[in-house]
Amino acid sequence: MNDNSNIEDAHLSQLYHSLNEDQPSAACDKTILNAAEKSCSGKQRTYKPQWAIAASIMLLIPVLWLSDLPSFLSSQSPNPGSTTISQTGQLEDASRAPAALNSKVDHAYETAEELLTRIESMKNEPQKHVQLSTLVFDFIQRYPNHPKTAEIEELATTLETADTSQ
Amino acid sequence: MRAVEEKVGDEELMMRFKNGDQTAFDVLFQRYRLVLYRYFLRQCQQPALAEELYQDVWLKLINAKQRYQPKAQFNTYLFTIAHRRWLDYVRRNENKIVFIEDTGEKQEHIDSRPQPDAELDQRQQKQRFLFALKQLPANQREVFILREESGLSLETIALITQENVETVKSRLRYAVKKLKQVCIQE
Repeated sequence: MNDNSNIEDAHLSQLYHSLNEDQPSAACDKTILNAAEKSCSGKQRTYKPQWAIAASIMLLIPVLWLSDLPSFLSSQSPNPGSTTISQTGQLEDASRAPAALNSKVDHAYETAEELLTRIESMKNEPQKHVQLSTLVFDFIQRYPNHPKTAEIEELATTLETADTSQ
Repeated sequence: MRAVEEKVGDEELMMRFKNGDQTAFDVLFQRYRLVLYRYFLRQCQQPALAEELYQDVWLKLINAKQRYQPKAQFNTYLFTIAHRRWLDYVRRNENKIVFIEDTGEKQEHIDSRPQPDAELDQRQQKQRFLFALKQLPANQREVFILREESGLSLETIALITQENVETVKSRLRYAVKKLKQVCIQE
């Protein structure tokens, strides 16, 4: 009985699938595929500058917070003439700045030997004439009692002569 | 269409389509094109109407792709849209649904032609089957079609039709019984 029932079920299923193979029209399918294509092309990401700006600001906020830049900016006087006593510390910082700058320059050639080496290396490079003059005069100023100072003074004279002749 | 994509699951294809991959949609479309069309055709028996409903479902799927979440199987999602569209149509056009072959015109036409016995028998069987299918109550017919056409499980059909599994099982049993009475035991 059960076997008969299964055979009947299979026959029923076979009958259902033997019904004519109707299909939707090509025009209908084309409409659907075109709509899908359109939806995909519309999906293409477009560059939106407002998003980039918003993202940059969002990223910048924690960086500024950590770097303490807001306090630096707030300590800047918008009008130089209106400097008050309360800004003394700021003025002190400003006066220290050139010294700090000088120390950085000094670090470039801390010893007389280093300075001499640089002078020596530039002697044969006419295109570095100006830099050489600067180094020469710097050396004379900083190391007046150095054994090589006389030699460097001679070089300075030569350089001056050359400058004049040009 | 590209052997690799043939092996990709429906849900993944739909997610790819959601992200702008049209070839993923093409694969999905080829997989469900006939099944979906016949789901409507077997219920309404009107090719033009079936085509209209079929197109509506695909367009709805395309337009709603951004909201798609792979919470259930894709075929459940697709046939839920189809089921709702069909119900919506039935509610709005209750008086307009007419089965074309109800007039018996087609049956007479076929029977009048001289044909070999086997072929004639086969044709008559198909006609009887179609007639029996049309005679089924709409909810039984839908369950039978979903089961036969797309091979969905009773649980999935229950999800689609928003009925409990026992109801679906019962509807299918009645449908099969009636079809057998008309087609096999005649």
